[in-house]
Amino acid sequence: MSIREIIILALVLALSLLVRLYQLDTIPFGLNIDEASMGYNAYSLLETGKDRYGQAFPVIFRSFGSFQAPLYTYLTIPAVLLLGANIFAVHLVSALSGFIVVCATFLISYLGLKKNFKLAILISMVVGFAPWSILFTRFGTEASLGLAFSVLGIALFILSLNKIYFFLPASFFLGIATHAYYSERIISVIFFIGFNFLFFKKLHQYKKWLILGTIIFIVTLLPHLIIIESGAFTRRLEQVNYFSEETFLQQGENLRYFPLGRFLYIVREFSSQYIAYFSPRNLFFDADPQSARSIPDLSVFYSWMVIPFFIGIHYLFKNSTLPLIKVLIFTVLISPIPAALTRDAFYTLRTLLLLWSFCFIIAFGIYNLLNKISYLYLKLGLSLIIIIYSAVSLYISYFILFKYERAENFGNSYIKLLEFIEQNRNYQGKKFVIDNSREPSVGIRIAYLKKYDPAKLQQTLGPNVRDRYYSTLEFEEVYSLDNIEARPISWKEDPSKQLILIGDSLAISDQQIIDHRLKLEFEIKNLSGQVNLRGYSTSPTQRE
Amino acid sequence: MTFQITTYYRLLLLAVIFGNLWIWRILRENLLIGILLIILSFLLFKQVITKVQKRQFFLLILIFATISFITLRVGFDNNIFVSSAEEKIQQNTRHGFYSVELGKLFKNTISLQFHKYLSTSIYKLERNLFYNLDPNLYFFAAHPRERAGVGEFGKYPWFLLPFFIIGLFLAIRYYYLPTGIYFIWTSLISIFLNPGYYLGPVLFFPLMNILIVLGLIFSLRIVKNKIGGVRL
Repeated sequence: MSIREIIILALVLALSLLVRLYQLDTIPFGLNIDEASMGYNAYSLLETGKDRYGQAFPVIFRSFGSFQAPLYTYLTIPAVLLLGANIFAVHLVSALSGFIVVCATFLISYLGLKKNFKLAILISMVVGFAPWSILFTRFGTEASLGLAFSVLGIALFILSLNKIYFFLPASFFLGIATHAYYSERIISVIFFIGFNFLFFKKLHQYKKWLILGTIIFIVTLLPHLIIIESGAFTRRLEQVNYFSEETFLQQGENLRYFPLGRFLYIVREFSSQYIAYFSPRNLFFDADPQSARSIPDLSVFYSWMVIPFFIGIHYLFKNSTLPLIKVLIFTVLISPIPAALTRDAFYTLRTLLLLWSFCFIIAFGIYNLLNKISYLYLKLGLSLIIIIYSAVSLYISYFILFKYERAENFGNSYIKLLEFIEQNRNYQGKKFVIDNSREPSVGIRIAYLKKYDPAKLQQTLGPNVRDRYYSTLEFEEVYSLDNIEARPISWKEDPSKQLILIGDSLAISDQQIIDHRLKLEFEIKNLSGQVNLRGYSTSPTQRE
Repeated sequence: MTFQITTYYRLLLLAVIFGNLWIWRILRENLLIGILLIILSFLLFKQVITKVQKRQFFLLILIFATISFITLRVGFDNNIFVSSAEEKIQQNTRHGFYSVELGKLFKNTISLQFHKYLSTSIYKLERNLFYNLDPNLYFFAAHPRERAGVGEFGKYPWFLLPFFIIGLFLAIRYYYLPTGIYFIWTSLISIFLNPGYYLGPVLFFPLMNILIVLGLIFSLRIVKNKIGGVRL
């Protein structure tokens, strides 16, 4: 690489890191249920060596009726140690994962595409600044970490085609990825087998390395065996799949009357889910249906990218003999499989590897389109317009609209509430009950940001799951954190105690305010300026 | 991938044209459009595989224009340039966010006019375009992302999906010019068509048929082991 190329690469990498770290603690302004859980578990492990239930270094973390892949939590421990228990620390692992993905992408594309710097930098830019990439690497999610390990694994596998010793770390990273996110449990295994099959002729020459790599891969998978019979291993899939007889009877329509109807239903459902991840409607316009996983007015890619996407497919097939292209096509085919096994429509978080692969295709398309333009100034002008348009779209949709319109997906009002309670002297020593009927993460979020003593919380939550950590699925937990309790309001008992009841308008209705003689104490507004939570003091003496 | 259009392939196209629920719905609701779409499918097939004569090409354009005219007359999306009450509320709320965050960058005539008059319309045009570029719309009645307020209906049997995918890749790889041009024109017309139009995006019907037939021909050739130099 020339000095000019090194400077351009450094600029792109620096910018991709900057866009991930800029206002990381305020956009998104808060922690979602998974982030709060991972953050507190990391804090708890740091302080006591046990998670919030008192389980020492779990293989998988239980959390609100489900289980979380462990790696993100463990990697958050150093972040909490260095930066303290705050929002930034939980988001950081994801942001760094995103940056690693951009670096590894450059490595893969530069070495895999005959050292074509322009194309490699273009691919890195698409990966670095695609809306999905910004969104999912700016909040704490295991999926971004899973992607980072998978991409590192794929990069090393491609390198192993020239230098076989890379096969060992490649197997290691791919195996480790299975502990980072659920989708990778399926994708990694299929990829490992598929890669060996695709390049069997080449790899067959190095049997010893091949066997050693396979052993490493299997060893990294061994921790899954500890929980394989507990129910925790497959819990998530059981919650979201469509294989059950009950689902078939509800949604099978006419297939209910066919022989092999249930099998046909599963095939049809899988096909519809699988193909949805390739739909231009979903990829370029209609974002993930869940607001927590989408940017307002922006899907996973910019809408103009639909043109280079189709051109990129043409390029992909024209160059299908290159090992990188073979790997890409294979990755594109296998990566929607885990998501297609679930009934959630276009669940983008489960298919980050697919979105990453699509970035290559889009970049191929852009590269070919620009190459067709022979007039330099037109090429530069067009590139500049596209870059400015994308940057403006991203800024408006993510850094403005997402900040305001998605704040409540990250429990922003509850964070403001905690700040209010802690800063306002009038309420010191008072007891609060925060309704968590529709927001079960209230307690754990407050526990994390309050840095509530993990030993105390373990005493409260631990006994419920003792000896059944991986098997019990109950999650009705009361978070009693000094003077704050997070639980559903009990209208039988709570009004007769001296408390401040906090909830939204659904938790505390106008009629209940009158019936129980509640007195409005304060209001907490969301970022848009609308009142989201209200605090009412009870009047036990007046009731008597 | 080159081949001669034999009677066998024409029959295959005929089977695809009539072997789906969509055409029967179109024929039932609007016989003229149905017949024109069937003719257009044959003409497009010939144009894609070989090349039609000038007269046939002219006929193709004429039929395409006629269908576009009829569908737009009935199914034009009148909401493109009109904001609903709900959209106005959202617009006003966002106006507040932009003012706070962007200051003078937003509070100038161009930005304000763009935000008030153009942004929603552009969004709707994009929506109309991308709703039609959804394989699930054609094979699964938009499942798993059914649209609110739109009466979704099944168009093609879902077991034809693999052939459609193969056909699409073949079109991108080998027949990108005729299919690409048809696709671009169809997309441009369909952005003005209401997503809830009762016949669906009918201009895509000939293209869908051709892609499915291409996939079927390719698959049958593989089965018969007569691929003849085709590499994917």
